[in-house]
Amino acid sequence: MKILFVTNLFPPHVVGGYEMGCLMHAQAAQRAGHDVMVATSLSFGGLQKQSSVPGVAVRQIFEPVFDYEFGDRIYQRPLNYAGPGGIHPGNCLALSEMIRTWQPDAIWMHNPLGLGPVGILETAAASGVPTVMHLMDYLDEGIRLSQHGFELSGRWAAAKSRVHAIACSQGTLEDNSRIGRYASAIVVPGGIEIDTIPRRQGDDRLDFPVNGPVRMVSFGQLKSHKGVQHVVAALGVLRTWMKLDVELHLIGNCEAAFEKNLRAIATAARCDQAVHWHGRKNRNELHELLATMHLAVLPLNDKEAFGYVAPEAAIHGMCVAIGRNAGCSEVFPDDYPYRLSNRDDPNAIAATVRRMIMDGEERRRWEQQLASHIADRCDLDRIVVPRCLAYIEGIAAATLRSGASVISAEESLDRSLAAWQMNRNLARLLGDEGPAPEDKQQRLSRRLNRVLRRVVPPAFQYQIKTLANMLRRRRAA
Amino acid sequence: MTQATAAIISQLPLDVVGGGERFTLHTHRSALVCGEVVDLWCAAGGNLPLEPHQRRMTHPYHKVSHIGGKPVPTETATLRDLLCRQADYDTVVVHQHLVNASTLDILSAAPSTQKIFLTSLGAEPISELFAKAYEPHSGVSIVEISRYSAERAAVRGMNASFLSAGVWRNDVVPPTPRPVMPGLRAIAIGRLLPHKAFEVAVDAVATLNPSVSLTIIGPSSGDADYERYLAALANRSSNCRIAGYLDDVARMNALGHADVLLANSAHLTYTGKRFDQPELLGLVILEAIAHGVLPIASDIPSFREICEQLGLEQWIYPERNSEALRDLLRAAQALSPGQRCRIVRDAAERLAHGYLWDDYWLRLTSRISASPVVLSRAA
Repeated sequence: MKILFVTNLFPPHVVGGYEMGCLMHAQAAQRAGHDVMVATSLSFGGLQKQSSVPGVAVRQIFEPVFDYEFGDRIYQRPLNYAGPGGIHPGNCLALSEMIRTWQPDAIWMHNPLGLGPVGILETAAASGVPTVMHLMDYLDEGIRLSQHGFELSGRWAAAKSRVHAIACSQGTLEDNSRIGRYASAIVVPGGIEIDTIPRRQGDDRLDFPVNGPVRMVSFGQLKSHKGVQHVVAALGVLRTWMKLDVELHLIGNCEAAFEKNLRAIATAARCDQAVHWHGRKNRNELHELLATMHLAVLPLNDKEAFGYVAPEAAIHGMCVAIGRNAGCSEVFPDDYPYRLSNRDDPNAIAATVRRMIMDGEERRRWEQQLASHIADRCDLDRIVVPRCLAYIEGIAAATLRSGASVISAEESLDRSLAAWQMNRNLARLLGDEGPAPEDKQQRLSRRLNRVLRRVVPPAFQYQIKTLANMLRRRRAA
Repeated sequence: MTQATAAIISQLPLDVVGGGERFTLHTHRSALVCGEVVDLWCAAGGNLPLEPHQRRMTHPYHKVSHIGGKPVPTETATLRDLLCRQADYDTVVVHQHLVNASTLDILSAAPSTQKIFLTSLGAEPISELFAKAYEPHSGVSIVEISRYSAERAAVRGMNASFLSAGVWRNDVVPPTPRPVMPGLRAIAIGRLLPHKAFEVAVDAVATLNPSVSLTIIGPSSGDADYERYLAALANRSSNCRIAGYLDDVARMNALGHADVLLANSAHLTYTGKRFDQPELLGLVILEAIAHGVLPIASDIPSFREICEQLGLEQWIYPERNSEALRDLLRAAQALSPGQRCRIVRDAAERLAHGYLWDDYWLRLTSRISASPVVLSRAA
């Protein structure tokens, strides 16, 4: 099959798992004997996290209309204003032309946010080429929040009803069914290149209590929504209250401001000496480091569509304390005991880690079972991509049987361009361009926040936030 | 409950009774009669025509039910909600589309398989903005209610066609010769607005012999000056009377007892103010024929269009010319009941070709018999 991958960012430009997932799918499809082409956007230097694109044909045909590095600067340009959640005429034309000239048998779409997703999906649906959306993020929420100057949620829903979906978790599928539903959908967990990960066998397995500290790791993107700050605070609880000799290894990118916050939290929790900063590592270095760790703590939040890090740590032979509702939690066994009851609460995290350390027998049992359990579900080449390809081939065959698209590609394009132009004209004629001006309350709140951020120490800010979260939870309960 | 496959959205509220609102309600009824499951939405009052996007999105719209009585709101939604739900319909008909900029939001929110029909029914506050912002494409058809209306749209650069409707087949009463009566009973129906030019009818009738009488039926329009002026004129004459508002049944009953209907609308009002388009169709003429009443109409484009279609050209008089109207009234009085009946019967037979509500929805959505108006943008 000729498979056209469509995605906003593609390695070497990487923000997170979506881009790496798309690369892995493209490479695996190629390894499985398919002809692969990736249509992506002209990306930005700062996002280039890898040195080259590994062996996949890539065409940078789309204009990027959302800048992940600098927030909204690009999409505020008049021509791109509908990019994040609407229609971008140039990108519709580019995709249409790509489909016409390359003539794929299937479109395997990954992340269209920022490309004018409504127009991209409509163009793909109207092309008559069977289209499957690979869901690894909450696209509906992204679309909903981007309806400024236009309201195209209904069109998004209508276009969705004409394409199919593969979701990396059941939760992701449900969250992507908030604005309309896909024509059909299956759940296939995120794929992991199992063979590239060194697996501990028998005597290689690290054991503890040991002479020396327990090495706890948190890796991936070190950002607040990944819950790293809670892990640092939990380290303080483990060391000062529970009197356990634990050290924390942080591996991955961390913005300077957030790192400063984390250091302040560690200092306040009197555990700054026990936090080890490794920075960003390439895959080989990462695996070498992970091979020396005892356990992983990854309090991924409920919005984490999958979270490759947790299954990867499990493949390494580590037990992982994971967020209960993160997407990857679905590939862990139902009776897995180290799901975090409350990923925002350092005390809860510390209690789970303490259980992992103290209950040696159960932990060892899970360390032995977990890797093969995860591998049976997430092996990219053996399980994940074959399931995806079988689904796509099935849809392609059904599409051939059912005949052509209900609307011609030209007509769809014509309508997309007209809609974009009408929104533009109206905004221009009513002097309604650009984001809405702040009202008095918003302006005041923004200024107050800025002052508070300067004046209040980060550790104290963190404590206040944790307290507020706790009160909110109690009230909700 | 069956999911609606079509929606009619009126950009004006439907709680007032005017020609445009009646056209919308009849369109809804026509769709139901044709077997379509259709939702009827209308703007709640007070939506300003030109507002920024964020405010437009909060405009309230009512879903209304009107079968068997007055339109009653059954649900309220903001424009944003309505736009999201719009994608569920295969067909969307927007009436009074030149009333609010949100028509363009509706157009751009249409999914690529949806058909949209736009019909302006007289109110046109955003016509200039619409002409500048609208981008035609294959999914949208502008279908006006008369050739005249479509030609006006074409002059603004819109590629418009037209489809008319005005009566239900069941409401067409086969005309029969009436017993010979000594006088001539004329009736004029419409809201008491200056461009309806009732004063021309009063002037014409007042100087005829007392056997000719005129009854003016219509609700107040809020133009107190005009109503005072008209009342003063009518009071000066013994054979003219203003009956005011009558409900549908009473109005049709009064129409059925008249001999001639006077439709006097004019571009120029009694104060000299000029109207761009006094009428887009002329429902009242169609209703008169359905009730066996001979219409006498002023020579404005929409009335002339109907009268020519129905073979009534000789019953047109130059607008605001009460002398010419008086001549036509004398001619009508001179006709025997049988002659008058024959003229109306011929016209009634022609009503079935292009003026019935019964098949209006099918004609609209299948677009078989809509007549395109070809005028260049330059025109």
